[in-house]
Amino acid sequence: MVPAWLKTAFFFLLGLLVGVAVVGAFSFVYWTYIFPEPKIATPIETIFPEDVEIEESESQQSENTEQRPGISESVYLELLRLSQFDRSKALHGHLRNADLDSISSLVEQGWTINFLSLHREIQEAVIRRVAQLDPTEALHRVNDLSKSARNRLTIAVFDEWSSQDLEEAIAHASSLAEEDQRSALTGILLSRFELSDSRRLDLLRQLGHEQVLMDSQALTMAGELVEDPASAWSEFLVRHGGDVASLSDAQLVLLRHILSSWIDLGVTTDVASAINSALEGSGNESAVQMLLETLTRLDPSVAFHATSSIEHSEMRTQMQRHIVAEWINTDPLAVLEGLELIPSELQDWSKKEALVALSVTAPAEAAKRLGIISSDDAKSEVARTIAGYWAELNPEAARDWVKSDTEIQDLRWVLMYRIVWVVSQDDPDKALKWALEEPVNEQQRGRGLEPTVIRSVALKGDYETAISMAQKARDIENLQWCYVSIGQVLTDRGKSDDAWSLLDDIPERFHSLYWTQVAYNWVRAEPDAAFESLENLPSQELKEHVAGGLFNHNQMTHMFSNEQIRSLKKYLPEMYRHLIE
Amino acid sequence: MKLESQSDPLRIRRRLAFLAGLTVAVIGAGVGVNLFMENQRSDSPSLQNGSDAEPSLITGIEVTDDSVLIKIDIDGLRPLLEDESSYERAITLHNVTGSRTGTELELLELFANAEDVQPTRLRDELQRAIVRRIAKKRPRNALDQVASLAEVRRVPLIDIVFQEWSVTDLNSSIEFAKSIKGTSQVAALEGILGSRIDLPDDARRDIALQLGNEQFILDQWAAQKVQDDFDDPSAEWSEFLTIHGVGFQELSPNQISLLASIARSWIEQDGFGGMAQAIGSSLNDYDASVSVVELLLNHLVIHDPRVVLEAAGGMSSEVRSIVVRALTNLAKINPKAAFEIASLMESGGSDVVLQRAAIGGWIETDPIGALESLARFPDAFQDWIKQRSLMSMVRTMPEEVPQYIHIVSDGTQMEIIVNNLAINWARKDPLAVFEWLQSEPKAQKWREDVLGTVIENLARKDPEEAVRFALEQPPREYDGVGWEVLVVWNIAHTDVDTAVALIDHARNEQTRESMYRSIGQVLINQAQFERAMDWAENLKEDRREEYLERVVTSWVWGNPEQLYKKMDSLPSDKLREIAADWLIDANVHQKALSEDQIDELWKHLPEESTENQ
Repeated sequence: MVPAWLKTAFFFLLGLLVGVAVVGAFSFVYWTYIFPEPKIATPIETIFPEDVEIEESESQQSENTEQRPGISESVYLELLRLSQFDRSKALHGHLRNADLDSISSLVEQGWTINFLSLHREIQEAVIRRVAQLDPTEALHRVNDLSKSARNRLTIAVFDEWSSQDLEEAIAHASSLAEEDQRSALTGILLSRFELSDSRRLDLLRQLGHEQVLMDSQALTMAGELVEDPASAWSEFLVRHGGDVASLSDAQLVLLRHILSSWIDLGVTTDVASAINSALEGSGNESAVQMLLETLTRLDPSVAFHATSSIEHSEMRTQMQRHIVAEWINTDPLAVLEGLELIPSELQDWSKKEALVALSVTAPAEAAKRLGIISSDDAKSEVARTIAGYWAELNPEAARDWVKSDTEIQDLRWVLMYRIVWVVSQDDPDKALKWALEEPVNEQQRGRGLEPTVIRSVALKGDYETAISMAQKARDIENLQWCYVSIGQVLTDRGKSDDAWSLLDDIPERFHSLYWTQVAYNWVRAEPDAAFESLENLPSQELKEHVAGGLFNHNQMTHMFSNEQIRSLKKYLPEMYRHLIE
Repeated sequence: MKLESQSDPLRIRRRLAFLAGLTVAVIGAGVGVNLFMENQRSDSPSLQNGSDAEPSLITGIEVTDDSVLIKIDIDGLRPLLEDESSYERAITLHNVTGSRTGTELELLELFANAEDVQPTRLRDELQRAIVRRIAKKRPRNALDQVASLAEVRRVPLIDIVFQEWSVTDLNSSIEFAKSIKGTSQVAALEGILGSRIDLPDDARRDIALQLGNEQFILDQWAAQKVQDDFDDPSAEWSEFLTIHGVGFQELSPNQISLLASIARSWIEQDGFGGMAQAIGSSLNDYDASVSVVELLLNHLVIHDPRVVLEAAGGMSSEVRSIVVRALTNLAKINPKAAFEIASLMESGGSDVVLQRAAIGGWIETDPIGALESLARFPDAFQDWIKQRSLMSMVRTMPEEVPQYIHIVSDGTQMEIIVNNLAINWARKDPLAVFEWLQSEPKAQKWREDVLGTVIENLARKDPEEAVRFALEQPPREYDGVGWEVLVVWNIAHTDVDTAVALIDHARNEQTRESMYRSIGQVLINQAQFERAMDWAENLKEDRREEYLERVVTSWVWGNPEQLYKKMDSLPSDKLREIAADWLIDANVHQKALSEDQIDELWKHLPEESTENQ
């Protein structure tokens, strides 16, 4: 007879078993199907399954074989889903144990992969692995690549090589051409971070590349906090020199870092003494200019103040000119409103330059202030600049200004010339309309602005339109000038036959002018062609013009032999033949 | 009945035992299994987490009231990194930073505490690995962490953050990148595009455009494409235009390299002329054609200057004009290249214009260099080089010309140079020109021309000084008039009254009369016709009529309406006749006068003229 307690215990255990079974079954379903573990196994197992590592898989029979040989599509897709670093890590892991033979075919495949940037990443991973196995083989493989690829991969080869055998890597680097040597040294320095500065210097001196170390040190310093910018700047000048044009990119990074630290710290009281001591040395002017430009962007008055103690007056003026130039570059309107800051000897120049700069973005503002210019020549130059830029932004307003501003009426012709020229670039019809509405230039015997428009159209290569538009010239004289403009462009561009054919459209009494003007261009542009064509020119008068032009041209260019010049004699008018012996 | 009642408690007990066992099993097993599974997953190796094989970077964590100090085991780290390339170190550090580094807060602290690691190279690599970890989950926190670093350190870290961020949430990464500026934004773009190579080209370009830096992606494409072989250069050229546009002046070095690579293949196939022809036809824009040919010449000539010689033959005149213009421009920006080209060309070669273009631009840029290299050029070039160089110097550095002028042997050359030198130099320093004139025997033949230029320029600077100077010079050889007349002539253009006052300085009557005529002519040139008419009183009678005729004929073109009104006040019938005749003729073009006015003018003409009306 089984005791009751045993039976009770039996049922308890039964309950336990059933409970465990139920929990086990439920957990299995839950953890497997409802909340499975994310598939982030090791790179090799997930990205590069062994069975499709190198051999072409059956799925590679399609047209895509050319693009992705040897690596399955699923591998590509997996790689593409990763970040750049994770891809590198996956490739590195995949290649970690590969030998030269097994990766040789992948090298060839890597070269043919044409899927965005993946080619480049696979290329680097492969080269690095080859470099670990046989660095000279790796270098051999990168030799035929483009310059930028070769530089990048040479760095990678020597990065790997020097981590395994520094001395051998150095020895091989010394046998390379200079540019490859620089890449090699960069790779070595990347790899061997533990090398002391003196060891690095020895290495670089050995190969004549101290600049590489200086650059590396400059970049390191550029990453550090600058607590005393004035001292840092002085040290920089001593160590690297103050000729900005000769500084390397890394040195410039450091210099800019020092200057921006100077500004950030707001310590500008010691700038003046720093400038003076820098200028006492030679060759530091450009560095001083750079400092002043940086200060100017912060506060021009500070920059001016910093130069006030420069003893040499010419140097002081030169530096102040740079301040003004930088200030104008930053805010020309502020310059015009702050002229009292600028030394008197620079004011006229400053006004002109500031107005020219202002006219680029705010020509109307510049026009309002034109009266501050006292010199007629400067005023003319600025007005023309204003007209040109204003015509680009708002041609109607520019035109209204020229027509209405009484201060510039003596410049009206040249200003409208500029406006019409600008407008003709985008809207030749409007430009021609305006040209025709503008009176002729009295000083040029009745010449209008329409030839300007026609020339613009011809310069775009649209000769037919230019000829058609020329018919709208206000009178015969301006029509002839339009044709001359077209003819000049044609001859400048090697189309002299087309230039002569225009003569059919020009009244005969204007042929002489046309020949004179166009022949001049032709002789200048194609003297040899003009010489060869002389006998076949359509008229005696044209031959005379061209022969005379060639003779004159030869006075300056000595292009033709004496015999060739003598052959011109028969074409010249009688009265000039004596000039040729 | 007794049996049933006796068995119920037992059954209940058994059921309760069963239920108790079930409950204990469910609770116990459930908790146990779940704990087990969670532990299992958090310990599993993955791409994101480090390997269990890598030791921890952290030796200890001290939490104080103010901070969490994380002690970094650098000594323990170093052995791991020895004999590894920078590339492998990055992977090792990545694994190490993922191994039991704890919370994100601890990672942030780890980043800050890594600041003290030496050498700085190791510090930077460690911080990059840490930032990469943080960026995978909290990219903005990562950016905050690096914000205070110097730019040279900050920028690569930003690149890393966006490499990771763009994979987890592309849109957010782009949106945030739009809010940052300068080199930081460029780094962000580099990170995004560096990671997201899965995106199609259009999408990548769109991202670059959104971040205001289309050039970045164009450079990437060019750098990738340049490694290709170009079997169909013409098609590659078309693709280049489509992708990179026609702004050849703004191409980056990568784009230029690509273009040059295409060009090299093209030249091998079709020759330089064939390529230039095809380029010209496809662009249909002369200036753009010149730009691209110039660019290609600049790039190609470094490798093989002979390519230009090949350009000389077989080109149409239009293509040749493009090449000539491009060569001229090239010579200005790259004189060395121009010299290389020129030294390969033979004098008397078939394309003399190309020769001149190659050298001419160089001369303009470096005339002294050209003169000093004279002996290296064939004889046939030398005269031209001398003249061209000296004329270039005349314009840009006239004061340097005298020391070279002795090399000029040809009389015509010398005349051109001397006269132009005087004109340009005197604008800067007229007295220096005079001193040179005094000492240069070769210039004596043109002494009077040069002296005239000197005095004109002196007059512009200081009229009184100019008059004194002029009076010291002997009178002009050809007419015996004193040079002071030139001073008056110049002054009259800007101030007639002052010019009139200077007349008293005339050394003799002949000079005085010349001064009066000069002022009169200035009045005519300046269209001050009424005053010019009145001025006639100052002239000698035998000169007066000719002068007045000149006034009237100029008045016709200058202000016909005014002349018409003044017809009756003209001092003689002859002048009225001349005026009327000229006004009628000119009106064909000017159309300044009405038909009635023209009819009135006919009345001033003799009858035989009226018959021809």
